[in-house]
Amino acid sequence: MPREIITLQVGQCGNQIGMEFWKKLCYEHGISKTGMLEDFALNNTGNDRKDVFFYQADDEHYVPRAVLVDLEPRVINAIQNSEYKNLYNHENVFLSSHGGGAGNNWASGYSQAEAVQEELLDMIDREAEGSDSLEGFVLCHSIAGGTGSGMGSYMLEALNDRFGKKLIQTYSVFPNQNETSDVVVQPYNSLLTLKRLTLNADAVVVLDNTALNRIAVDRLHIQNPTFAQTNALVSTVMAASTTTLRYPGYMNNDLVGLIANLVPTPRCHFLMAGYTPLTIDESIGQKQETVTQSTIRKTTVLDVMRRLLQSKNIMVSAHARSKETSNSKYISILNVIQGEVDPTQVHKSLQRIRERKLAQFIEWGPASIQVALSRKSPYVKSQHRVSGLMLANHTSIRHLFSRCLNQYDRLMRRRAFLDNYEKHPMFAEDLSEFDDSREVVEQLAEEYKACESPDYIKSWSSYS
Amino acid sequence: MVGGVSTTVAGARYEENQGASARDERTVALLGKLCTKAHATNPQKVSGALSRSVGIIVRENEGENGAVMQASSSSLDSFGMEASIAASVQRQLVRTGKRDEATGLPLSVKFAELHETLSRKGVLKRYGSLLRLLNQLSRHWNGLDGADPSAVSSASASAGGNTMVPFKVIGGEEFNHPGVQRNKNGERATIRKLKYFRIKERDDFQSLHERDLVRDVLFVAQGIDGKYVKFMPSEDKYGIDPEYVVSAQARELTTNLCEIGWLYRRLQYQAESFEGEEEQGKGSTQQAFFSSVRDHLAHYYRMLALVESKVMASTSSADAKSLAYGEVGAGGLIEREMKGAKVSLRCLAIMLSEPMQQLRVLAILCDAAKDLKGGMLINKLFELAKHGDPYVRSLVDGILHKVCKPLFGMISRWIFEGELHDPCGEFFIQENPSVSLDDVWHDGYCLRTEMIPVAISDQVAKTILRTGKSITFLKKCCEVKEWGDFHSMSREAEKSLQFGSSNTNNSVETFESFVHKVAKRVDSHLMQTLFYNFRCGDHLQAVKRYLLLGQGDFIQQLMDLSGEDLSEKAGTVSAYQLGSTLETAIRSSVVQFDDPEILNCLRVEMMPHASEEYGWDVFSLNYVVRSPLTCVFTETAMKKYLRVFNFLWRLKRVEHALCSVWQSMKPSVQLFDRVRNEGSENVVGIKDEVRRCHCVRNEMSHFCMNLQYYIMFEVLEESWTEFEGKMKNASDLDTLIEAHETYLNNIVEKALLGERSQALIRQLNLVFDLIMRFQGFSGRIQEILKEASSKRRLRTLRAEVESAQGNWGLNGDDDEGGDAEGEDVDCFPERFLYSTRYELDAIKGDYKILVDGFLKLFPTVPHIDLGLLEQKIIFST
Repeated sequence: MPREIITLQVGQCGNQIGMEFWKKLCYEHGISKTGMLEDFALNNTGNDRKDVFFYQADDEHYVPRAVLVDLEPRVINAIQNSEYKNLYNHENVFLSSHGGGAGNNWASGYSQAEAVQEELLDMIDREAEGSDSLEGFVLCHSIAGGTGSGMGSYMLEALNDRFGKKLIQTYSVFPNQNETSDVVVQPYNSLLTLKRLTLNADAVVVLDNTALNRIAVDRLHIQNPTFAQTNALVSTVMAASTTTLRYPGYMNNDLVGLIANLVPTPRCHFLMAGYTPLTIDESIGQKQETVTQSTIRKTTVLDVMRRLLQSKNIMVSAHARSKETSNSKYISILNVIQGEVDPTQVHKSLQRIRERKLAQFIEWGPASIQVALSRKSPYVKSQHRVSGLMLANHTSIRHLFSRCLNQYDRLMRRRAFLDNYEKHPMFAEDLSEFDDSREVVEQLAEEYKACESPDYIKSWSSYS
Repeated sequence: MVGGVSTTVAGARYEENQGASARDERTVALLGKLCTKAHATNPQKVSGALSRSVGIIVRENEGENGAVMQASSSSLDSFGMEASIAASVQRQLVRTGKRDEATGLPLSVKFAELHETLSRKGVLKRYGSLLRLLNQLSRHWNGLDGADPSAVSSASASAGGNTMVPFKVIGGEEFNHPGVQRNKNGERATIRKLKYFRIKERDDFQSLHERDLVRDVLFVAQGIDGKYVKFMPSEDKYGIDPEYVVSAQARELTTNLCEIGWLYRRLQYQAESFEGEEEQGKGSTQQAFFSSVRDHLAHYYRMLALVESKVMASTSSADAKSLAYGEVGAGGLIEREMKGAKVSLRCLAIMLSEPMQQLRVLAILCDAAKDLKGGMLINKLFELAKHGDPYVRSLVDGILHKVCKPLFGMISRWIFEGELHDPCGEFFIQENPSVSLDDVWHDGYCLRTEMIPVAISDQVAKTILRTGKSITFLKKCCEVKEWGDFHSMSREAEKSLQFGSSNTNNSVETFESFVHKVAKRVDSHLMQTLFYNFRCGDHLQAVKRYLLLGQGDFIQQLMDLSGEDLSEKAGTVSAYQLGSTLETAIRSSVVQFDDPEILNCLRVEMMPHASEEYGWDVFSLNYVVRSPLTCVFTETAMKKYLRVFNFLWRLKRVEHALCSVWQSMKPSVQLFDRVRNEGSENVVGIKDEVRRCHCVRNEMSHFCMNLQYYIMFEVLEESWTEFEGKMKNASDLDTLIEAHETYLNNIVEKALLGERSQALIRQLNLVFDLIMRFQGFSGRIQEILKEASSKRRLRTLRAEVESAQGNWGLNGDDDEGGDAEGEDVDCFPERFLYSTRYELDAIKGDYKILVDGFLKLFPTVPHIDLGLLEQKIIFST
């Protein structure tokens, strides 16, 4: 079927996010936990495009186009013992035979992936062959651990090599930088992964665990948010950003179209996400009958669009966002607005935002808030009349990279924990891979910085 | 001649209204004195003076005071007859229907008032005698000495005028029978070709007996020549044979009475001549009209027979009492008047006065209706029915009622059965028989405006037209046999489908509400048929999704699949091939779940093309519906849809092109070795050009996306929302069609495709052309860079292999790369950088000029709200 998207969930975090994502998708499309259409959705075919993310097996089951990969069995076993166990295609699950994981070591993950590359690529190939015109891949992973980062990095390179023309989008969870992480080598892993994200991905949706936690605490009023809860936030963003693909309308019906307008220059393809209004009971599985008409809040388009521009709703750490705010600029913004929206309201909201200069844009090219109006799933009763997702390309993201570089530099200066890396072939001879990655990431941060200047195009070039 | 009472009337009127005039004061005073004297002394003595004064008054006031009494019986001799005379005068006045010029009261009322005053005051004790005297005086006017001939002639003229009140109708038309004309002053005057007899000829009065004249008049009244009174074709009137000598008065009276014969003759001729023409298709309304006229003539005949029998009875024997009891009003009158009396010419005049008026009215109607039919005839009658005289009004109303009957028959057949039976073209709905099935609704039937009766407003006429048309449409195009049960309504129909008079608003309202009731039923049945049986709503939605690109994934799929074919020359593109492409696109998008019935309407169409055009230029989708939906999806509507589609398709294609440019240069594509500053200056330079290329693409994409957003949401979706609301509320097909047209016009206009925005669309097309040029340009760069990149990679690989083998450094004697003509170490020609830079500059410059030009044109189209579009395009500036 057309414009299919294959989801790769790698590592513990990737699989958790993925699981939430599929739950949400099933819920929105009226697909039961076993993959069958729910009774209430039987007569409603034609409203949505399920085939972007699912394929239909011979027995009418909807099967996610998903590949589940992990080096340790905990999360995947949990999935396979959950109510959703029959949803997935079991052939698409890869678990390392030893089950020992990657020990939070990027190098371990990478080299293990290399070792089983045939098996992995077979799964991906099979999935790709099952689609008519594959549009691209979505990778869910975290960049701090071992499997998601190392194995994910390997897979990015492999995909780029094998499916060079296909789009590769990632949902990459960045580690919480407020807490002292249990993964001490996290700066190494992040840096090495960032290099692949820079070179081998077409769009990276940056999800900062720091910000996710903050949002869970501040906006959802959860004292100690669990991973499942923050992951639900990520799945909300993932689902919302694909609504225009799943509920096709006039515009933005393909991933390329969505991303192309967000990424005007190739290097700067790291996107921030924001979602409003967030509610806890949007998490899956709860009966939503309690939502009656009277409790539906009259959120307006202007409210939504204004809130989306506020830092507190952005899923990238406030620290990064607040630094050098005056220089930070939006390169592009895409707002996916869902619900009953009158286009004239959008018109007015844009006018207000422009008049009040709520958003600062780059000066070297045209930029504006692109609005994609999308239908809502008929099966989801939301408390809110209008909800919105923002995907934005903002130059302040460079502070996140700088921070990664700093942390890396601090660790590298002490040459701490390098022995674990040197065990693996990539680092056996020398540590040039680290230097190389550092250079790429630094270059990336610099390019984002250059974007803040009005003469980005000219100054970046060597002549004139 | 002029009656005394009438004189009193005139006098009294002067007293009241025109006292300012000294002359009139004098006259009145004189009259008053005379009257007093007549009371005190011997009336015989003053009679001469009185007569004279009356003559003067009459002479002076003649023409102004038309209300004169003529009806007085020669046998009147008792005081007790006063009331009878007065009643007779009153009747006369009522019949003429004249009004007092100053007060606006009918003269009859005035007369009654005056008469009352006079009797109450008791001034005239011998009032009856006086009246009689005045009557006598007027009768023998010319016998008085001292009266000059002019007075006589004018007085007699006044008498003549009295009997021949011209029939005036609203609208200024006046029926002139040959006896009466209007002179320049507008005064009534009789111009006769008769020679007035001198006084001495009075002696010959006996030469023709009045009885003979009466008999002859009765003959004449039936349109037959009498013995003495004959029709004179040369003068087109009846007249007494000039060989016979009669008194001027009798001649006068006879001639006046003969008018009735003239009228009858004329009417009969018209009624008969119509019968002859009946088969030539004069139409049912005219048929009804003349049949009604004939009815009236028959009635007239009956009445005439009654009169005749009276005359016979009165002449043959005195016991007339046993004869004929009047059956109708006129008869009753006659009986009362004439009990046991001899019938004189005067008597006859009274008896015939009412029929005469009837015939006059009929004659006027006939003249007016002669060449009219259908609604025009009815309208004419309506016009004539607006008459002050209640008698005339009721007469015309009666005829009108009958004439309307066939029309209502047609209406009820039309609104109940949708059948139009109108061989003579009288109905206000006209069929266009040559129309094709698809155009039945739009061109099949139309209104004949001139045939719409005035009582039926245009709105109602349109409703009637639509109702019948809906039924015909249901029968012909929808092949529906049932359109609502109207049997229950047929009785109501009979009651409601009638009105005759112009002033019975009530019946018009009943009629209108009935028509609306029927129309509502038929309309809702038709709408239901269209929406449920023929799924009009689904089709409209489908057209929006297919032709207006509402279903984005389908359009995208179609573009993906057909792109290659369409890049060929138009001549080589196979429509058949595209048809199967369409099938594939349908199967692989959400559209596949649509009803096959709806999907089957979707076609690929190749527009007529010139040889140098490409597939892209001529490709089009079309949506083909069959009758009855063609009434909504008319040819013009489809043309508009296609125009919008072609524009949107072009816009989508441009977007598609820009996306593919992006995809070819997307972030993960490695065109250069990633390490910074590696390579020569040329490589750095080309890297910059690629970056600029990205920026240009971004600018173009930004423009396209905003334009798309504007058109999709601000134009299409908004117009659709508006239309959808109207569609749901549309109670009849016409409203729906109109709403649909508005919807399309809105789209065409706002999408800049209208007449007034041609300049913008031309500019826009130039922008699109430029973007396509850019796509070609970027494709070429990509090709070269990819080639260079792979060459470089090969070289690096070889270097590695060689270094592994121990050969350090590059050897100059390589077969490839370095030595090749025109290529440097960067693996692309040096001039490539400059040509790229040059071409990109040109594209960028052109683009800026075009877009600026486009934006500058916005103020030229103030009727389109392009605010958001402009705002979005310049959002960040």
